[in-house]
Amino acid sequence: MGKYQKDAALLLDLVGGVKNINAVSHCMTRMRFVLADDKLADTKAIEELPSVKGTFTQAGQFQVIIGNDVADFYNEFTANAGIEGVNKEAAKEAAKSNQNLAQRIMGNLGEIFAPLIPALICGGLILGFRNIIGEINFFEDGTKSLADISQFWAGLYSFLWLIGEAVFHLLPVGIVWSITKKMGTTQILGIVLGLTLVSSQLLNGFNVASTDPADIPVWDFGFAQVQMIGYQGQVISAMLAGFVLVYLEKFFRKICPSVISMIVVPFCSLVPAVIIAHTVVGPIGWRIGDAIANVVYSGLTSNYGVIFAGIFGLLYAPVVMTGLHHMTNAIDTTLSTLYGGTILWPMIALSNIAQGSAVLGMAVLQRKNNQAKQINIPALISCYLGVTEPALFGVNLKYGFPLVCGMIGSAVAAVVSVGFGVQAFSIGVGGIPGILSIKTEFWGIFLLCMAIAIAVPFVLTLIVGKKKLSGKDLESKEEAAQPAEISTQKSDNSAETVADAVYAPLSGKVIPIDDVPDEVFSQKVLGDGIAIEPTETVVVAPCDAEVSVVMEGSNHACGLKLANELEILIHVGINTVDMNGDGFKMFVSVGDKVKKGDKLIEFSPEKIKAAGHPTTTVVCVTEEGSAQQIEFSSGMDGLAGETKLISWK
Amino acid sequence: MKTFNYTIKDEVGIHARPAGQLAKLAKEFSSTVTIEKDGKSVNATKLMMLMGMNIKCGDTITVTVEGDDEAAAADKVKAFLEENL
Repeated sequence: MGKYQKDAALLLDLVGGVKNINAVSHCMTRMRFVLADDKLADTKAIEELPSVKGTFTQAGQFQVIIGNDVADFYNEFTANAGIEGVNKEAAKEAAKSNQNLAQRIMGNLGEIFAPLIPALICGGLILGFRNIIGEINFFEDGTKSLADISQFWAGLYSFLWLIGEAVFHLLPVGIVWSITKKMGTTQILGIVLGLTLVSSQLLNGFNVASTDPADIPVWDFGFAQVQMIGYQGQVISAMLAGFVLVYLEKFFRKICPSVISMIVVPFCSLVPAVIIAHTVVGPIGWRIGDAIANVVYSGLTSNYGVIFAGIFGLLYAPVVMTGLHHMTNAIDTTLSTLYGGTILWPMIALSNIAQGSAVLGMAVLQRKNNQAKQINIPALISCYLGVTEPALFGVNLKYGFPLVCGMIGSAVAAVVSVGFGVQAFSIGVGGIPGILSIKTEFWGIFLLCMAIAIAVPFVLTLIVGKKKLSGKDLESKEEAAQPAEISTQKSDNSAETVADAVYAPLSGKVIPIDDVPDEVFSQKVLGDGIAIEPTETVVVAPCDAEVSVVMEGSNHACGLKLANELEILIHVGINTVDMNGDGFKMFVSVGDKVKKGDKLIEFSPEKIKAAGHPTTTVVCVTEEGSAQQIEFSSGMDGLAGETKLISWK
Repeated sequence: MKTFNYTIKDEVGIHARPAGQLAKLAKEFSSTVTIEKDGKSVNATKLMMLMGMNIKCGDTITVTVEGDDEAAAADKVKAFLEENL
């Protein structure tokens, strides 16, 4: 039984049951559903599930954000639902019916780049490292670099270009392959087509500009000549060529009888595709790529660049939410191959940091809200490392204003970044490690940008949050009635306070009472409750109460009566009554008034185990008093005095 | 009203488990089941109070049953005590 079993089962009901699911899959952080009827999904209730960080509908899919553990959640979900999950591609395929053309094109572009990103990140780091050893003149009064004065580093500098070239210059191979993979046609044909675009028989695309047009080699067909130009680093040309191949293959596959398709289809699709790539779509794509890069580059380097940067910085986070941000990878890559660096990427890294800092602000504001903390902290870490979705959907979008605060910070940082012309070698890891792909000469100014991206959203979130957030958001949801002021009152002893919940008396895994290995407890003969597999040895008062019962002699259990007449029994271990008190020490006696956190019982887990009993400690409600709608929370790791186990109205 | 005495034979006395079972049993009847020991008496449906009596092996308790179904209830309680305690 896994930790998500309960939530997974609830989620199944809340999305409308098995029959409402056309397809389900998961990505890094989300469950992706294609639902027959989106309206049947109770999004509100789904968002209330402890393991769900948020939901949204995009591109025809209903997505539920779980976090990095989504694979576990998914497995339990599909096991529980008894449905064979479909993979991501199939889910997206199924979702297409709900999409319009523009969304479909955008979605496809993003998916084509996704498999290439690891290589691009790796290549970016390599270029950054080469830059440090080969381009920056640290030595001899700033005239020589490390590679200039050391043969070892010179060798390494030269060697690393082997990888750098393979990643960036030969990228068309990867792009065409990825297109065939995405579109479901023959992948090796895509690879071959890609190779013909960057073959060493051709004039390297990077040398075209410096070559006299008369010297460019040609294929001479007598009636026509075709220039032998390589498409090294050409993103758009490669994409167009890839789609031509895909279209041809699909066409011939349809019209060709299956007996001869093995011979006919690859030949008839690959040969024309190569011809069209080199004569038509290659040159066109080249121009388009140049034009886009030109517009973006001159836009960003012009006098109005900072305005453009501000808009980009502002809007990047919302763009991520639509999933269209993968588009920028194409532009980034074109920029880095064309100009040797990209101004876009630094802004993206800064946007990640800014959204993360908004979460940091929320984490500080909500430091007393355990439920929120469980979302805020992982979202914060993953955001600073470049994966923004948990932060965006789980925290910032949920409250709204942190998203805006992050966007403002991102815009300010982007303006500074572009204003000083900060460049990255290529796309890299996002977030704080993003600095590794920034050109070294810009590190100083980029650090300043990072400081802005951290400080501005953080401070804004704190200020706005103080005004906007109610006590309910700041504290744990159910404990709104017991903020810090009341505990101060308590220490004044000015008034008898009413405990509003029962917290964990012990740290350890909290399990449902149904799972306690003893029928009297699991069948709730003593009352409904909850149990803890303790990792500590001291039972403390889980709330303010009066001690109503102690098991004299055996000292293994005690009862507490709360101000609202609710009574709980805390029972340490199963069947431990027969130990006659050996291994137990009771600190209270009947009639004592205890405050939350006061020591009640100390026990020796070794002795309990030696006696052959489980140490499972049960907290059950034996009398409900005036409490209504008593609820029990289990499944989490409880912290003594911190984790709420039993709450009521 | 039905009354009888019972001497606990179970080694550990009335602890959580039997108290829970006894309280559950007592709730099944409309009659009031009272357990008395050393002058202290509790309603048997009150689990915590029952546990709080700290009834040990060798203690003699007085069970009083009063109400419409007192005969049946007294029999059942007695049977329960003999079987479990």
